[in-house]
Amino acid sequence: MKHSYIWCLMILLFVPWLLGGISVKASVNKYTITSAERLEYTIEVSSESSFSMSEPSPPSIPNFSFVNMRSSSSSSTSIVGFKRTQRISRSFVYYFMPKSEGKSKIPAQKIEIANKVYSTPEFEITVVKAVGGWQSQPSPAIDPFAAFNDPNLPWSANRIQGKTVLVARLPQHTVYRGQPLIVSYYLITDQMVRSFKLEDERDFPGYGKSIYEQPNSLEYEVVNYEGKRFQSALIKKMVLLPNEVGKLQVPRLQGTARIYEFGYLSQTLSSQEEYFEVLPLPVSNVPEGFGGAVGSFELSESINAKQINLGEAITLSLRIAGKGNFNQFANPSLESAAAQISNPLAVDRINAGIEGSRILQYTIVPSNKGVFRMPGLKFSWFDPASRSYHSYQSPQTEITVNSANVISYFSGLLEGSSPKTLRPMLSRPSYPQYRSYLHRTWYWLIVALLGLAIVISVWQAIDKKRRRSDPALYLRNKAARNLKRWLRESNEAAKRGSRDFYALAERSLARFLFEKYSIPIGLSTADKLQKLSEAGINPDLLQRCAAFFERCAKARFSPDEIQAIQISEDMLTLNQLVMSFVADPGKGEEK
Amino acid sequence: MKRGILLIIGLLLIGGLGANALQQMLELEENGVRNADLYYNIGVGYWQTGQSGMANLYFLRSLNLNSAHKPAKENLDYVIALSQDKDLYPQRPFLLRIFYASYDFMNLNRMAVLSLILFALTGLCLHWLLHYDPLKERGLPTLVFVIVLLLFLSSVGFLGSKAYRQQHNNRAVLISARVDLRAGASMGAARIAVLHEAAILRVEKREKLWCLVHSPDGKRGWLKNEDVAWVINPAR
Repeated sequence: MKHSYIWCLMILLFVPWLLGGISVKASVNKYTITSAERLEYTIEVSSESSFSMSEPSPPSIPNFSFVNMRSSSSSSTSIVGFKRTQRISRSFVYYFMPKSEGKSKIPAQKIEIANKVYSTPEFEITVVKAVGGWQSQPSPAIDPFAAFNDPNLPWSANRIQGKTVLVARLPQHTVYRGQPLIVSYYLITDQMVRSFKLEDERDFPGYGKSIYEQPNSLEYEVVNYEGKRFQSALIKKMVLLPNEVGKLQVPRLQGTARIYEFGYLSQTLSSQEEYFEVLPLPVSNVPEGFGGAVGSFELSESINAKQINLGEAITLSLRIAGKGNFNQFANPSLESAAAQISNPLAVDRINAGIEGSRILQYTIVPSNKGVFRMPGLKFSWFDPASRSYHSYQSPQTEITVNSANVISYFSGLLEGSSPKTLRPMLSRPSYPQYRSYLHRTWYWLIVALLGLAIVISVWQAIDKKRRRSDPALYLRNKAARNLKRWLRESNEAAKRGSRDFYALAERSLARFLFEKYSIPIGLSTADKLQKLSEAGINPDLLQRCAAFFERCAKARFSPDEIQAIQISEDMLTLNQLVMSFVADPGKGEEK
Repeated sequence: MKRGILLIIGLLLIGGLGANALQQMLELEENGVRNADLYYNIGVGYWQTGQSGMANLYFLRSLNLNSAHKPAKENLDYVIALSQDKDLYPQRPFLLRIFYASYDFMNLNRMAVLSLILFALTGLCLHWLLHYDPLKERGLPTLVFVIVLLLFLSSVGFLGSKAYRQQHNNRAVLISARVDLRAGASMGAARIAVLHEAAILRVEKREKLWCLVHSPDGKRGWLKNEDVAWVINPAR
């Protein structure tokens, strides 16, 4: 609670400082007036120091019409107890006339002084019927500007002297259809016209229009008008683009001038009637492809590259500069069967649509490699000065189109992300369904093959490494591995009770001896036994081996039938023999 | 009678020939055709009808299938350059642009082929290393193998990333003219930013009526689902 009191006190103390000593008051002469009386709304601004402000605009009061206003300023200085106090005040009085009986509200006004906005209170005004027979004042409600004759106002109508007119001026009164015509509207006066408010612009058929120039303030210059010295200020310049032939009337402007004459008064002004003649364009010697351009133009063109890779785009720029109906002619088209060409992108630097330059950018993507001949661009226009048609034909240009490469994909990297046109649609006879390689069988088949090749390579490398590090062990292991296979063949033959068992057994044993003791397979049995003996094999084992070889030889060439049980027994003998050889390292292996 | 029937058939044929090309392409898409050129052409068609949001969406769909689709990339850049939100997009440094251009150039299929080639090269280098003469210094084959292996692993990483992003692309495009990005999933939530048609968004989360998105300049907020079109339609 205590804090809130402190805050209130602070605010009260600082408000005058914040406002800089400026006070804004508003008042009315009466809250209830008759329909024959005049309402005076006063805004008074006062300060202890000098200030500057613009004149507040009159409030918009429903059911009241604004008649006029006056402003005044005063300053006073007083000295009290050796203290000098100055007071400067300005007052603005606005006069309104009621339109009918009833209640109306004067809205709060926002007044800006030294970048601060001050607000005035609202007022409610009641208009009652005038007492019969009592007419102390004239009734200007019918015509607000009849207040000129109000004797109660602080100025007198008979004191207003001078002339203020609004005139339209044309540089020429005859133009061709499509030729731009600039109409200038001037305020010509010998009074103190402080401002001019443009309120209406009446158009007439037969032309299009655009604003060429419209100043924000009245810039006066001295002119001679009707043989007298006047001041002239440009109100507006507009461009007319006639689209009909014949006699056409220029637009008529209407507005209110605020004239200072011991106070302000308003005067409604309208421009006078003005006409111009529009001629048709000549029908003879019209060039082919004429798109309706009328004016004076200069054309030039440029190409950004003369050598590209297939798939890249080239930009052809056509610059049309000068004065004419830029917004009324069609852009020249560029067509070629050997390239995709976009619609031109127009970059305009044109004032009021009639003077400046237009750059048309065509994006061209050649379809094939080789030499691409740029199609010719033709632009025609009618020049009103020479009263004849002119044409521009672009020179023949050849573009070299090389094969596409990977680098061409990156060609636009340095250009940044500012493409000039949208690339056109691609011509495709059909649209095949997209499937990435990752969803195709052949891709994973190749991956599998490559994986298999790598596995084989690794296995071979490991095998090679084992053989290199311990050749004897390697051979022994290899023989043992192979023996199982060979014995498997012999075993199967034995199970079948086939005589082939003996041939397979003899061959298996010979291979085993070759792989383990490097005894050539082609040697005779006697030589093999001799080699085994040299290898330091146990004599008992040697004898058993010789017996088995002999048994095999006999069985193979014996004409008698061999019993299956006999083959099984021999199979057992072979197994025992091989196991004995595996267990006997021999002399060579011991090394 | 015969003449009348012939006239009707003739009119139908002429009407069929003059049917909207965009409509035909959209029908192809409806029938399940996925093709980068088709998406690109649909995008151009939408642009010609003044729908910049849908145009951007289809350029993105084209690039999703083929990141090396240069016309789609250029048109996407063009539409972005004309959009009201063009200043929201980050300007990448030159080297980063080169990296992204290279990354985009290697579309999924090119990356798959590159990975295959690098796989074969890795196998060859491994074979060379394993079967190299043990009496010689193995520095060179080891170095070559390590380099090729790293390249192969990188390409496989990029390939996996590209394949995943193609299937789970989280980008979307704003298709309404002007939308407020809100702090919460309700119309009463505070406004974070104003986005315009064709803005490209990154979707973080999708709910029944709203989705949480990131604007091109990284602002995070909620948009109504009806204002957004997804590059990969979640309904499909």
